[in-house]
Amino acid sequence: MVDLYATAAAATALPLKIGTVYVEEVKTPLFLVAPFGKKLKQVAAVLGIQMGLEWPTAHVMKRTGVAYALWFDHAHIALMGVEPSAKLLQYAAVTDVSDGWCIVDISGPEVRDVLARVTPLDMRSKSFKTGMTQRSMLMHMQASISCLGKSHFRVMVFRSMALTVVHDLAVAMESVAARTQKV
Amino acid sequence: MRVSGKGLINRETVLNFKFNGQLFQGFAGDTLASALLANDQRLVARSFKYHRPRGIMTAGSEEPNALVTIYRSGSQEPNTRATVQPLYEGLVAQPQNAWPSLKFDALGVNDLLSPFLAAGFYYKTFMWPRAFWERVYEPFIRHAAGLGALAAAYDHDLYEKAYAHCDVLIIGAGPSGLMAALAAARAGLDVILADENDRVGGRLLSEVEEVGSVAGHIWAEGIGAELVGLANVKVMTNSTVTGAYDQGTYGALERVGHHLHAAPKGLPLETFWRITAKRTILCAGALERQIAFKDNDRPGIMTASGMRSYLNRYGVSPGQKIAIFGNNSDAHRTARDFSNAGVDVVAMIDSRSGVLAQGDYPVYAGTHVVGTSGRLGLRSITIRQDGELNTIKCDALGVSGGWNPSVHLTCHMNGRPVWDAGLASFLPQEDAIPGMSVAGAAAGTMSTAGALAQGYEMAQSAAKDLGKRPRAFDLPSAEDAPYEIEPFWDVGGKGRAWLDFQNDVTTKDVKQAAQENFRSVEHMKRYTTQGMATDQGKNSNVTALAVLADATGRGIPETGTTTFRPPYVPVAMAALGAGGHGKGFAPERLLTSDAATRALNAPMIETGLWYRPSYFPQAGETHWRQSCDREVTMVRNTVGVCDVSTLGKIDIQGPDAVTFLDLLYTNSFASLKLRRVRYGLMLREDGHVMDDGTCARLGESHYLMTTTTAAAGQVMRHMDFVHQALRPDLDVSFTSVTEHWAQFAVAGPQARTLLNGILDSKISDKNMPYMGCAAVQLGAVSGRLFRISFSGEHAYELAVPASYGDSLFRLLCDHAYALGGGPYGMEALNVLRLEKGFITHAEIHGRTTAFDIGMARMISDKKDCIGKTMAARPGLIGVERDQLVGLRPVVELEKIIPGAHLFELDAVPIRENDQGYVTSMCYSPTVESVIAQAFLRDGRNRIGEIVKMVEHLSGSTTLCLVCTTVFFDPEGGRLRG
Amino acid sequence: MRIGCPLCGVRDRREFYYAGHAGALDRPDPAASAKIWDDYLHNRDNPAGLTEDLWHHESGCGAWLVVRRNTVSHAVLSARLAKGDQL
Repeated sequence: MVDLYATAAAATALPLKIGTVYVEEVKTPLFLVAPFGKKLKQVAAVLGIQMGLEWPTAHVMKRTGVAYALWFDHAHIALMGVEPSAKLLQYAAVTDVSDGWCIVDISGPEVRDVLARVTPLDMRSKSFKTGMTQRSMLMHMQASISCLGKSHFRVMVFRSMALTVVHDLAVAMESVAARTQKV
Repeated sequence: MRVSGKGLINRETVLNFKFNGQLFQGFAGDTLASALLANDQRLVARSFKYHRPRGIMTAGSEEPNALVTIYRSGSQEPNTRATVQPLYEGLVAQPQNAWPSLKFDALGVNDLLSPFLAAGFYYKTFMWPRAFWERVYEPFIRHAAGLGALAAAYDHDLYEKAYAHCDVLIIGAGPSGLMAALAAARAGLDVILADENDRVGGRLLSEVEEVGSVAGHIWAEGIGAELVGLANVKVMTNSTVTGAYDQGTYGALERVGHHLHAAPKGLPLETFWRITAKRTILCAGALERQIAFKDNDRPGIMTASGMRSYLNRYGVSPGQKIAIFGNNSDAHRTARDFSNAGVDVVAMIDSRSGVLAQGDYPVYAGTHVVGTSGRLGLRSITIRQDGELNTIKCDALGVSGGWNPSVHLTCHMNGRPVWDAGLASFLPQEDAIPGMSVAGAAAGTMSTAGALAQGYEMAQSAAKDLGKRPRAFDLPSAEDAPYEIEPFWDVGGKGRAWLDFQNDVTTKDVKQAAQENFRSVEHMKRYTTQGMATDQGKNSNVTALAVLADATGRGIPETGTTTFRPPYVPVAMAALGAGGHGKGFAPERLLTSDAATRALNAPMIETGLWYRPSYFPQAGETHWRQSCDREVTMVRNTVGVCDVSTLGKIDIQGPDAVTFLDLLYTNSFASLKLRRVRYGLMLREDGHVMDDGTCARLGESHYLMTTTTAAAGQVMRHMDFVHQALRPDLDVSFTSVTEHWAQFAVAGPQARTLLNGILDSKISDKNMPYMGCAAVQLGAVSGRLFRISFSGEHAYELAVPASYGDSLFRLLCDHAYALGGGPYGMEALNVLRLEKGFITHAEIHGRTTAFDIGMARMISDKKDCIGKTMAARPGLIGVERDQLVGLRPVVELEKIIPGAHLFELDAVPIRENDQGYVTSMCYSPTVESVIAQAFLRDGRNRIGEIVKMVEHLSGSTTLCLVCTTVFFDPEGGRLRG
Repeated sequence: MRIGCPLCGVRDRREFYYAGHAGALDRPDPAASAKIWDDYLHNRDNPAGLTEDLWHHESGCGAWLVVRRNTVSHAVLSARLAKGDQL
């Protein structure tokens, strides 16, 4: 029997700290869930009863312990940090994309300034609050960006672009760090 | 010279700098311009066209003359306006447009030739003979043209882009802007206050006046400090708002590192901001304009307000003997301030009659300046008073033709400024930019008290608009003197009177344009170049159009203005393109096998954003063809491994999945059994082929579609469209799983042997027939196996979650080596598919139909599908179509070139005789021949014919035999074997 | 330019892919006349003023939108989901 080993998407480049901002890769289960026609109620019930998670409406991220349910796109929510209950399969299309996304957590006092250099999203704390999740661009990449805390974000891009996202974040981090040093 | 007791500079900090090779000293707080004037450097530039000696004319970003090149370690930045360049220790600047030197400029001869170089000279002169266009005229024009020069070297300076969002953007931090920011902030709005100066205060920094019983600049500093301390305010100094765009979007250029000799690592020189705001208050102030009179361009002649800025803000007098020429009350402030500072004010010449002095200086009322003298700097002026000419010695002349409100940004969305006769100026058109209001001098409110009040009001009304309760507070007391002006544009008389200093446009040029019937202001601009280049005519446009109005006998409102477009100040291309070079140009998509592949020294080739191996060179191979031929033979004889993860993979689920697939694909999927794979063809609605691929049925209503690498994004968008826009009733959902799975082709006679060495359960023809698929186990890892082939060999594609891709690729390679095989790259992949007659996007390139590629029968007649109706349309089927065929050279190994066109043997190879074109070619080591695919008119009926391939670029001609596209194993025995 | 996505709120234009007039929603019957198909696929008005067109929020939520806007003033008046309902 063969024994395959796993490799993290950005293993060669993370973690990284520049100035006050820190980036690390997160390895966690990630499943997309799209309820079949008119089965939203049942899906929400399974989420609640079986997994202790609320159904997230647009831009909302619900959390119970390490498990997250977050709005993902016009058709899907994502379950993160947890394997979906088998009961979900009756009511929803469930797709394992755990290895499809490079997930990085970026945190630090100047994290919003860093992200304001790579995404057109409104990064003001009154606009992008803890518990919100948005889809947008990170430089040229489609990204999912979620606010886990006032100075703590989770960024997801396609796995193959892992080194690009680290590069793009690092450039912004260096610039923000240099501004606080400049005379 | 410095004036003691004046200025906001720090005389404790001396800064050394170099200009034109000479060492000078200035103080912290100086600009390069103020430091040069402090060192009595009046001559700083040569003009663009006539190479006339020029000096500093203004104290702001509107400067037309004082363009210099700044040298920083390893880089040079041309066209920097000395008036906005902060001085720093070690600054090195050079003048432009001067050769061999500032004082003696060889092209100064242009000045003597000026009678021949007037407006329209280029249009008239460089017309004929035609043969001169390229050889004579163009080199001449290129040599003479261009402002400054770029270093030929790579630009290592950093630039960046950033986004900012706010409720209210306030543009300009003068009295109106500061007051607007304070009122908006106190009402609880998120405020961005942007100003192009390095400190807030605007005009208050250059005036001697009190606000709230303290000096204006002290008041500004206090408000600035209060604003900086507020969490809902972002004060952006050194930031010029450059453009107003749709839906409250603004561009702003922040100069971040220009004041630093050596910036910390990672610090950009400039940041280009995109600011979005719900409301904007434009508090951009006003710019002073000139009056046209003979020889009004000598070094030492400047705007009266600029002169005052140098005195009050920088403690510099641009001369020993000062004269002022104006047509308005504001010009007297300059005379008053200089006189109060103890500088000798020799004359205040006012074109208005009966005007009195406001201080200790002589006034010549109802008088004009009619000429000047001094070759490299002003020595004297001549005035005409009561018909008498009178020469007055002076070395600096401040000129004020009145103030132009800075309406520029209000015109960026097609707003047209409105003439105000009282102010003799254009005012912003109301609501020219949705969400923008205007306050202060930009709105024509010329007094400080008025500006404060208007800024306050505009902010209060913005707050109300945005649902906030404005907080009322008292305004500070401030100067409220009326601004009095009598329009006066052009002294007239003989000689050249300059309007646009940067482009050397004189009143004569404008009058000549009118005479030659370029009477529209836009035509005049283009004929004379009035208002072009870096300053965009900020201090000359209005005067120029007044002269045009006079020359054409129209009023100024009828004449109108030219169009102000973004950017308000020059923006480096490097700032606009920031982040987009090198690794920032586009994402690099790397395979999970990337590290292992590079370790095998495989050269990588970009396919879209992906990086894929071209081939895997082995010791002794010196040419890619050797590697490629070996890899092809290896796959045909033993087994090869290739990373095919780049193919798009779309997971489709839902009760209506099959209905959806039948709408997307030309062929039917209703009959596809569980654990089987089918080839599918997809059309665009216009009947042309969009993509091809396979679709596997993984579960009752669960499918996995693959797309080509090239069309993965397009297909996903198309599916989103078909579902959401055409059939939202279908109960189906889908998502890309391209990135979740690392997928490898294992191809060749030994493919099954290899896989049986690594899969937990053995596979056979029975449990894994051709076009079958199944879930497989590799120890703890669950994967998917598909028996599909793009090589024509007995082949599989094995997929595992991408985390295990690196591990699996290395394992597959090791097992392949043991069987005499190994990895293969894109070159071999292409040869293998061409030998079998498979197509890629070289063939389905967007203009070909199912009929063209011989797949018309794949369009099911039992159901509708996207593109079906149009695919049957006349013109898309029939003998007139170019059809896919194979080609091989008649003479062995002669070249067939993709892109080359096909002709009948005896036809002249011209477009009218075109019979088709080559799409792909390779050398096939299997059939030991060059083989190709091509589209040939009615090609399927011409198998066996000989056609002529002509490649016009290189002039190659090759006779080709037309054959079927399948060169190898036409029965497909190896596939099923 | 900014477009108000019904799901995501007002977003920068670069997140969207433009796909022409909203007439593309009304796919003709397969048996419709050549004229109708020709109009559906190829013929477009070029209005100075109000228009309705399709934008794909490709780098956002993935929704196809019908956007009403003014080609002269550049005002974006409204946007709705092409599929009708909302998740």
